[in-house]
Amino acid sequence: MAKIFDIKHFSVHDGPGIRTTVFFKGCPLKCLWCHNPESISAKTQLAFSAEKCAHCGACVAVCPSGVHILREEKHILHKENCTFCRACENICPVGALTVYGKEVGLGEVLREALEDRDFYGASGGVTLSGGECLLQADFCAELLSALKAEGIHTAVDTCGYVPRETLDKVSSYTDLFLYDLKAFDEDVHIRLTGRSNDIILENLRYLDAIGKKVEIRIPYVPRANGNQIDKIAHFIASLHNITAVRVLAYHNFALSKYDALGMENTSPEGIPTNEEMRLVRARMHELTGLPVPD
Amino acid sequence: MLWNTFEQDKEKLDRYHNPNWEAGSGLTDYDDIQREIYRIKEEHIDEPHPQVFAKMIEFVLTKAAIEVRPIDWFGLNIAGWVPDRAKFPYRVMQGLIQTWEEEMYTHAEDGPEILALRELHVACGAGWSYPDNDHSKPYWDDILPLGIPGLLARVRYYRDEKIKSGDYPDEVRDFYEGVIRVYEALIALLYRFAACAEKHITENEKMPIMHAALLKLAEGAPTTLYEVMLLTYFYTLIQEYVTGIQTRTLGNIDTLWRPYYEKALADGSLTRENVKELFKYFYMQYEMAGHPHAQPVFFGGTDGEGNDLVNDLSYLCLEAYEELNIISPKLQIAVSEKTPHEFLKKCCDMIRAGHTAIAFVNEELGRASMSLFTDDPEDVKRLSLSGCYNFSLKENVQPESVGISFVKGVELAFHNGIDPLTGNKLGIETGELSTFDTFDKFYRAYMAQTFKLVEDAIRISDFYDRHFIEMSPSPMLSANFEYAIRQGKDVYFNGSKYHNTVITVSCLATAVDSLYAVKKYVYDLGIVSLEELRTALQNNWVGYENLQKMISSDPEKYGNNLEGPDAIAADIMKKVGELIISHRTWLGHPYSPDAEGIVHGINYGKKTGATPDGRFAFDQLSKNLQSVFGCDRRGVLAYINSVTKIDAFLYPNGAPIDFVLHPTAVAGDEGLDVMVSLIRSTFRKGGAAIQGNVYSAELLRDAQKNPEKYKGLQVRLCGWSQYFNKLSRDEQDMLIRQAETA
Repeated sequence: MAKIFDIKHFSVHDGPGIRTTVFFKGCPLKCLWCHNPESISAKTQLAFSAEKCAHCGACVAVCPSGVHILREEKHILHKENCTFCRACENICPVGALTVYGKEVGLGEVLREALEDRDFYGASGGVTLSGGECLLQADFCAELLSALKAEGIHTAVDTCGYVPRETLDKVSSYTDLFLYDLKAFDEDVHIRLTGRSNDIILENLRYLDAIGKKVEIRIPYVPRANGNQIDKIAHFIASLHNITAVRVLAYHNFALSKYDALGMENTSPEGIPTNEEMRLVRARMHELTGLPVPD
Repeated sequence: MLWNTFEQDKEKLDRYHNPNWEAGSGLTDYDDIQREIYRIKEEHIDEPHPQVFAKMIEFVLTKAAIEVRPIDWFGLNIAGWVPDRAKFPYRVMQGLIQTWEEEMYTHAEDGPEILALRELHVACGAGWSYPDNDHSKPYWDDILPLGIPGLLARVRYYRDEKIKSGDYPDEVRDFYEGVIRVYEALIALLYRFAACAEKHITENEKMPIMHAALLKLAEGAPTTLYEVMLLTYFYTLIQEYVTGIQTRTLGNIDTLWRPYYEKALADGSLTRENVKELFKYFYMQYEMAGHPHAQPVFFGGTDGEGNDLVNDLSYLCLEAYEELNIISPKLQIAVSEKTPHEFLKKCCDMIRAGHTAIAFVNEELGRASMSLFTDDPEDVKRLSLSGCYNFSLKENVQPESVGISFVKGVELAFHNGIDPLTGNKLGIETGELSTFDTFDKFYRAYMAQTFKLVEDAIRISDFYDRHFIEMSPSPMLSANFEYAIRQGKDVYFNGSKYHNTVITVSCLATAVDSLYAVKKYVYDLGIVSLEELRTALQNNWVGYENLQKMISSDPEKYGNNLEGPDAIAADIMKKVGELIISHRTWLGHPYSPDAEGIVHGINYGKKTGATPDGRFAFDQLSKNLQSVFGCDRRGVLAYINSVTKIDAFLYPNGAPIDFVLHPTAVAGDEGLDVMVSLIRSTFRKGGAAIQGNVYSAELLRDAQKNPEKYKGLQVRLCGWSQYFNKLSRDEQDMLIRQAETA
């Protein structure tokens, strides 16, 4: 079994072509700007958006565990009682309630991943992402192996903060690694993500050395890792099997999710403009000689 | 200056809204011309309609005022029609055709009964009907090489042959004489236009060329690209706006016109840029005329031997179109496995940039489905596209006269054949609810009611087919079908080789979700009894609010690649499609099923009570083969997976798949590859046609608030596009809701 929080169909930003992306729950890093705060905890979570709530009481009626209480136009939640049955999520007419996290078996994920195989064509396929999917490496290895047996292109999106043996479990079933780099300087990396990047850089060198295809993904958060771009680029230039570098624009669409999950919002200020993104991508291309698509 | 004039001219081209009739060229007033038509009607009250009709056409072509606008390569117009669609009739013969239709309900033996049935369907929101000869496909393969004089000569030849054979009954004589009268008047009109151009010959460098071309067309077939384009425009102007029959395709012009294009480049008479400019003037004629469903034209595809037909002219046609930002003509792209990736990318790039009047159709499926209509492999090779995304054989007429709602059968099954809102006995007695002890029995009652509506629709349609000759003869169109001319019969009256009248069925998703809700909540879960559910529907869910919420928020709905609802959808479509095809038109040809409709969902909805899927009374019903709005929670691929479980082979006249993609999903060059891949995959899965929009809900909301900023914003609707600003608030809201789930 594995714990995931979403399976996204018609996913076009997580590897080449039309893909299905499985988002695993739980992450060893805690990046300040995390766009998927629901992915960080390995536990199932009930999120509630007070802003959307219409106080209709549908959730109160349907909840078997007394999680929801409406009192004087206030919606009080006893999350500790929640059994994550999703009855409230399903009935809420305005989408104010979401359960993040679901235990799934291999067959179920495989079935859903194969659902859109007619659309994958030559380039598309399935991507495992998160969170950090490799925290559940045994499941991933089984899933990837099953996908390869079906002839499906596979990609693994990883932050790289995993033991090398974990990479070994999946690498032979993985056609493409989408490998995140957030900072080059260790102290900066610790400040931004809570962890050292030693193992991350080491693992990337390892994948490169064994000839795996890797696409580098760099979230560009000007006020957090803006000064790291050149250093990351020089590091990438020293590798041999990198297919492309993607510099991803930081955005703040995740703010409402922090609120809904009751998490402290640590997102930095400063959304890069399109022009900034164009320049930083051009710089990355100049320093690495690699394709840096929009 | 002969070339590079389009930009300076384009604001002054619209002679339809601002005509400048040639002084002394004839009657200019719309009402005067209408009066004359009715005068001719009364004067020849005892003559057969084909004869009388031809006299009316002759009158208009010879006596109505004309205009030739010297700045425009195609600046021809004739008085008597108006671009204002709100005015009736906006086409010259439209009023007369309606008058004859009304008379038909009185004169024909079964007329009153058919009229009553038609009115019953409309009153109950069960269907619509009108005698449609308006989905015609001129036979461009003969029109272009023969020209107007060549078509006339062919008519005379076959007329003489008939006379010689001694088999020359009155109705055949009436037909030939009508056609000859009309074609002689067409030639006279070409001379009138030529004379008018000559008067203005010094005003613009285009005029000597147009003058010569008009004389050439009056005397023979076109031989240059410009003449071909001018003839095409002249033909559509007269057939559509004078004889009252819309030309639902200009043909596959990138193939039909290609020899003329290549010759012009080879002999140096035109450059590629010159041709592009000609196309801009040409396209603008259709944009200015402003037909609400737009002028169709198609591109690409393969020839009968499987060779790809995309060529430089195909690209040129797109490039000229791209620079205009217009919604008419609308472009259909015939897609085969051999269609170049780059060509499809170009089309997708245009859609992404907001040129939404482009639809892709699956040529392979279209050809295959023609086996429903013919055993002749040569005819199958000549697949034609017309209307929105309709497949047909080339020598074919396909009136689209009637349609029904899939949803009405649900109401009728609940009420034993009685329409609950009007109390009319619309359906058949399928039994009291207490007799439906299994879902299967309820479902069988639904199918029986739906079959009854289809059978009624076919009766109405058959009546129209039998009486077209008396309601709206089609002499101009008939002359370009050799099959009709050889027999001496009107193309709409036993004169076409194939006559596959269309039956349109609409609002599938609302019906499917309703039936699935009955299955799940009544039979599987036992949450509510059939009788209670009926009471809830009769009360528009008042007192059953929680049940309504539970059902409407249930994610198990059609369009999410879920086996339960999708199986019902596929089953209904199969049974109804096969039923329609099993019926024969009065000429012995199979009917052609069609599954589309956007306006129908709004109109039927206004006369449909609450439905078991949680919909409230009078809300609109679902559109085309889409999910109910907001119910396609699992995204575009799940939707396509659902809809391609339906056997589109059975619906050659239309089974469109609609998509709304968020701009971020298809950004950059990779995004175009994604769009092309989506189209190809959809067709490999058996999808018939795909069309759509690339926009975000935020953009539409902004456009609603600030219409002045978005004057050119196009949105794809059913099988055509419209400017967002021209839609009603309700329609705008509907598109915004749809975009929210993209």
